[in-house]
Amino acid sequence: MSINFKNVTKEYKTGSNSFFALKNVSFEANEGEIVAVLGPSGSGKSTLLNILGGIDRSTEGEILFGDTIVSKLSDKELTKYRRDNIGFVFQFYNLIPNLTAYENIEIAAELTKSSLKIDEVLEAVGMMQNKNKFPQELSGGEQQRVSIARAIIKNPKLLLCDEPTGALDYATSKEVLELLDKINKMYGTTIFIVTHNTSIASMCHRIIKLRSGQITDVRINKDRISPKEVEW
Amino acid sequence: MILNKRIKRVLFQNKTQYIGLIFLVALSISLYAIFGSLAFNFNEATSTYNSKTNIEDAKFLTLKEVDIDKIKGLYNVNLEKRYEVDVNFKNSTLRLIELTGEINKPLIIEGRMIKEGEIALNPAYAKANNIKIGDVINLEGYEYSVSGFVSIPDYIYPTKSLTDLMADPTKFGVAIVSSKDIKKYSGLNYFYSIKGDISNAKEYIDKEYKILMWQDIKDNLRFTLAKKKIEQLPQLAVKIPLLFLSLTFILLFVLLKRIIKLEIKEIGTLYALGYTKSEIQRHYLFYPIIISLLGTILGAFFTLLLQKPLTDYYVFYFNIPVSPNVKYNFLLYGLLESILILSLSAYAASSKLLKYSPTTLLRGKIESQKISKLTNIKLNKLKFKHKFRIRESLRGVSKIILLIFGIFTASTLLLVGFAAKGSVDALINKSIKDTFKYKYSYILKENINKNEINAEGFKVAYFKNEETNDNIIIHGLKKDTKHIKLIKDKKEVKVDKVYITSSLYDKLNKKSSIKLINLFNNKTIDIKIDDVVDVYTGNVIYMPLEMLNQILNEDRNSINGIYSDTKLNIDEDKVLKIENIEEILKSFDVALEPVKYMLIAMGMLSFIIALIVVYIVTSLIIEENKHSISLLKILGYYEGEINSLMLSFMFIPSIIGYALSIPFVKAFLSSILNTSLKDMNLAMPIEINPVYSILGYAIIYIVLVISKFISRKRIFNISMVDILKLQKD
Ligand SMILES: Nc1ncnc2c1ncn2[C@@H]1O[C@H](COP(=O)(O)OP(=O)(O)OP(=O)(O)O)[C@@H](O)[C@H]1O
Ligand SMILES: [Mg+2]
Repeated sequence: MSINFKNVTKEYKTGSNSFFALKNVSFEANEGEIVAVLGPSGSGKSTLLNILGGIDRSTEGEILFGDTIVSKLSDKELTKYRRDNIGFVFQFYNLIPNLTAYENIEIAAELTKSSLKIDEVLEAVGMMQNKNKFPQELSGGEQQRVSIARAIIKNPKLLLCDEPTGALDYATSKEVLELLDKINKMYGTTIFIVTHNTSIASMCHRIIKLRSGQITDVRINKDRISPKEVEW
Repeated sequence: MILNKRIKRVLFQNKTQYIGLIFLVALSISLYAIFGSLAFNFNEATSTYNSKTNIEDAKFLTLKEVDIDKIKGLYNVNLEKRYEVDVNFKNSTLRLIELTGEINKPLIIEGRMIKEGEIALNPAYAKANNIKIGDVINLEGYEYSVSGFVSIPDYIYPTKSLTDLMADPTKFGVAIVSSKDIKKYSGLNYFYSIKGDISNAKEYIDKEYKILMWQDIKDNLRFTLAKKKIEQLPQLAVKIPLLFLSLTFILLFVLLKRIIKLEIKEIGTLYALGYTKSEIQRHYLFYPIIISLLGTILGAFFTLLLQKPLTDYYVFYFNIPVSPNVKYNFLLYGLLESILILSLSAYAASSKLLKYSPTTLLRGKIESQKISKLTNIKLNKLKFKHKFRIRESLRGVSKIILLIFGIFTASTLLLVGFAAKGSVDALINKSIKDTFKYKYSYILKENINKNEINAEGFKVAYFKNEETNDNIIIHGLKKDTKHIKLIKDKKEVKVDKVYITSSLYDKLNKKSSIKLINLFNNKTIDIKIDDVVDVYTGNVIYMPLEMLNQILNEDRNSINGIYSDTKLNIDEDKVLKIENIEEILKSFDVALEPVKYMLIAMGMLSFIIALIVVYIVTSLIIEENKHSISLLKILGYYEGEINSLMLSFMFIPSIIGYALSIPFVKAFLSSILNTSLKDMNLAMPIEINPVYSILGYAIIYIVLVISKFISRKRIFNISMVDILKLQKD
């Protein structure tokens, strides 16, 4: 499913002041790509991702997901859109604390009949031996693996990762990036990775740069390297 | 202290929850104050009443006319003769009573005392028959102008016959007229009222004049019933509000715990700055004080609003002037009690959390450090939604307890009402409708032969229990009588041996034989009781007619009573008493009419209480799980699905709470009812009709559904984006 942003604007009004988190953002991305969204803090990266993922709404413009005009969906349809198509991975994992690793994945698996096998995904993220542990009993990297497993269990067409390595050390970050790459290859999932870290962009197919809510650069990465080689 | 500035903000932010708490406090304080004041006022009214009216110690009737002055001279007693006569007024009976000057002096409640040609009536009758002060009424040919409403001391609860249990103001009333006026009527009755050192006088009177009837005031239901009914008040005044306060205790505990958890970091900072634990704990005591104060103010408002109507309503049937004033010390006690209980709650909620070291507190997380054993159970076999619900409930055990207790309290209130109604219904059905299968019963002044009439005859004889002096009636019945249906263990039994009523059996402390004194000839007899039948009213023994006649030494066919399905044409002079079953049932209906309104009021109250509790619990659950809820939304769960995952577990605690209240209500009611009913010759089978039980749970269920509906909106309003911005951990 290709993705198309057409003049997307997100405006916050505070009293008489207004602030543009995104301003006339337009870009395209193809199915099966890994897309990096780069930019300094406050540039609108998360806003872009949230609007794409259907958990926030744009003020103006059109967002296309294949033939679906996401920006025109009702609240209920938007929920259905997330349910059927989207997986999220966050910087702070956001696992539900009173559920085990297995159950945290199950909670997403419940949503679809065509979900992948939980054990298979646990194996893929390398968390099989930890499946009955609670989040508090896991390290940050392990929690992030569970959170990735939760995001991909529905076999989503689009995986949205907001600073997936932001809270992790170098070695763990690389393992997570390798995992994302593996998923992209295994399932053909389109993946968006939001990051501060320009080095990460080198493993992506397409790179979008943002500054103050506006796109400064969109380019295809011709010299794509494997995540193993990424260094910073 | 900086934290104190937060109080207003916290209260305001969660205003619905705290309004709920304040409302509960207000409810318990106003109940306490209203019933406390009522009981106090009633006690005061009766004690001054007794001295103001100079109420009799006993009333009696003798075979020969007594010489009043002679007895007064011989004994230290006061004695007065009082005439009375029943007249018809618009389908009802009004008993005119002579105005007396020494004993049983009537008390004017409204208007003024009568003069000649005037009348004063008991207010309930006047109201039921639409009679106002200043009206002129005609009573069998003589006109009276109504000068006021009156309370007659030996008719505080005005029943027509001494053995009636229910007063029916539409059918029967009492009124005073002057001595001169009453003498205009024919067919006057009279009784002697006596007061003072009566025991010696009684013996003398019996010897000289032969006592036909003697009734001590403490055996007069018209007087004691009112006392009994009102004496239950203090019990209610303490118990029910205490139940509400304990509910508030738990609610506040849960809410404060939540606030303290949110303020953990600030508390850690204050510790680090050098504040002591007690200084911080003092801050949390502001909450109970504010809640108690506001609750008391609201409660005082309720009390002022309701005291008068409730007093009027409560004493309406009792015909005694009771002050409707609020006793403010009850409000004060209520306030202190509430501050005490709620402060304990605040203390309990804060002390454990405040024990942690400043560094732990500063980190802002104290709970999720380790996983409790309870949470760490394996649930792999279960369906996901069940697992989720179980984990969710295990995390909030205090909320489950709160829910169970809250539903328990609401259901108790609801079921007390239902059980009271159900029990009275059962009493009426079992004791009256199912037992008495005749329409009229006539009791004759003299014995006749049963073959003289072509209706079913029976014999009644009057005795008293040698030990307790209680009056006991023996009915001698035809063996296969169609008119009295005695039921034992759900099966009808033939009158072939000696049966007694359940109420009498309870009163005799389940003895199997009694010594009785025949009221006519003072002879003592021993009766062996064979079995107990399911009749819940009256001190009655049933036995075969021939057996009773043998005991009385009378002809085996002799009878003095007739059962009939039609009105019989018997000479009025020969009849001592006519009983009409329909009229008895009607009087129950009239007397129970207020019970209906009580039920509706109690039902609404319990609905509100359940709603407050369930609302607080659901809003707490949603607030505490904001993060998870927002995640579930991000994952693509619909609001309805989230709602059901988060809140459906409530149904189980609600069923538990409801189920627990059933045996509790039964025990509670039988403890407060049966002790007082014993004195009324009634035994109440405490029953909760299955239909009512289902209806009761339906009300609780509606509450759950409503709060689920409200919470759905709250779930809808939780933003997915904002939560992600709150940098957790
Ligand atoms: N609710 C809001 N009201 C007003 N302004 C907002 C709101 N939410 C976000 N913004 C602003 O929108 C801009 C973009 O925010 P966004 O979260 O997308 O930034 P970001 O690129 O993800 O930054 P970071 O790398 O720090 O996560 C920021 O300047 C932020 O202050
Ligand atoms: Mg961001």
